[in-house]
Amino acid sequence: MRYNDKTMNKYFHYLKLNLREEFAYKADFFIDVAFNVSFFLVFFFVWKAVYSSGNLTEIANYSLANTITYYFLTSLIFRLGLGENMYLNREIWNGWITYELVRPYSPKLIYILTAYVMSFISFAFFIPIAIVIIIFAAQYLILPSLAMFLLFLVTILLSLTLAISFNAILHSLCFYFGDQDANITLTNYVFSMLGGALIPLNFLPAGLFQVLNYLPFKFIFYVPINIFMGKVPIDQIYSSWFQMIAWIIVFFSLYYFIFQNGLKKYAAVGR
Amino acid sequence: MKYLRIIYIILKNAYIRDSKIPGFVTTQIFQELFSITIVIIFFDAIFSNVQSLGGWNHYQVLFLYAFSKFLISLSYAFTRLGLKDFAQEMIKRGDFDFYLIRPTNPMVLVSLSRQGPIKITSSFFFLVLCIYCLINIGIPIGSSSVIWFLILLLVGFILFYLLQVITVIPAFWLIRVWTLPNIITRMSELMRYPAAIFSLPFQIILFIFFPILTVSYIPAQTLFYPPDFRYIIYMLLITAVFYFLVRGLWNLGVKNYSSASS
Repeated sequence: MRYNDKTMNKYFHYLKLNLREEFAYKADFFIDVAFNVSFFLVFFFVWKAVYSSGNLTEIANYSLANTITYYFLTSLIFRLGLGENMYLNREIWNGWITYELVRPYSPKLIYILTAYVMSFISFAFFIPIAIVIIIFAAQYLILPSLAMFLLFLVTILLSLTLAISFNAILHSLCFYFGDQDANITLTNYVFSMLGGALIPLNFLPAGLFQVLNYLPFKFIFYVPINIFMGKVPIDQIYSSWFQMIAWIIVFFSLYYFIFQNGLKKYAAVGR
Repeated sequence: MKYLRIIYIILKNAYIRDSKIPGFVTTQIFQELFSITIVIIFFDAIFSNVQSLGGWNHYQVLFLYAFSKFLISLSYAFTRLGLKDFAQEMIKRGDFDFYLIRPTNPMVLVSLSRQGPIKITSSFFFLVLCIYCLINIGIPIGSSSVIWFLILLLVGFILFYLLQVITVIPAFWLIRVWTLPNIITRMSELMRYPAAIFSLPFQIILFIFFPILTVSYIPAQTLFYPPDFRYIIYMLLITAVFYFLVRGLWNLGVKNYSSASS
């Protein structure tokens, strides 16, 4: 028990230091988040123009309010970082991971925890911006019931874990193939686009929608947002959670295997 | 001529550097092609529901998008990365000293100091998309419109460059703000759509105070419709105003710069 307390303390202190480091650059973070609002603004005006110029009440079962809410939540999910807040690749490439290997905690776990902390900080900084957006576009936003909001929170936590676990695999490939920065950026871009970051998946042609529905990308944007808007029946929500957990287990197992074997190839001076 | 030679040397070195990074060139090209595909699907989804957006048809809007991305890619190829380094590293570490002592304009030299040659490929893809849109656009385009468009394209590129510079100038005073170069990236998302979709207050901001819409919208409009000299003169004037504004602010920043450990 005493050992467990000590173990938890180590991780707690590590997370606290990370938080302090991030909060040291508040102005920086705030400017970044503030200008990220442009993403929402663009789609707000584009879709408002689409619905009004076509006198449309719905597109693919989405009202204007649904569509605007979709992009509001997309900008929020983007802020979570989707696993981009991971530094494993850089640390392997530069050889800095060596310092983590000799410290009294699991290096495999520490990069995952850092990614979570960074995501939560990004989310915290988004809150004031979200309030501004809500005031600006109040009449176009759909707010959920408390029950739906809680279901959304659980889903978004699973989405984040799914993205982090997938990114952990990409990062640990650096042990084998060297710098993965370009591949990580590309994969996350494809992951986001096929997950519905730019356009709700149900707006796509039926054939493409069917294909994307079989892939795990939809769990990052499309599924959580639809849960938020109350468009997913409860049994389908549970089914989504089950599928996400299954993918997370697969991805983390792969990460563990790749990391463990990669360490054997690592020469402590970078890759 | 001196600047062309500088561009050539830095571009050549940058290409050698980029091609040494495993997979960098391939992934960049794939990402651009994928993003173009997504954009085409995005506009297809929009125009399967409406005939026009902000008064412009499908291919006009797609042209405006591709034209904006063409300008953005060119800026990435030549000036954006240097300005990014300026905002994030040069002032903080005092490396800006080296640019001040050279016999060229430090602002231009800093801008050209790091280039992304692979983005020239991206701009080529967007140029192809522009040509594809013009073939399918379905409206007659006069020769005077083409000539004015080419002139305004050049002016737009200069104005876009000035806007990039103005967003990083605060680095002279705010040394620890790393995200300044991201401001232009975010703002440039607003220049890809017809101006009429924005509400009036936003149009005023984006045409006058931070004229990012002027960069893309006025040249594109001049191409599609008979040249309106009020818009052309306005674009030339606002570019001149921003030129003097940027120059003044830059000089003010240089006076505030106290070399290494600023």
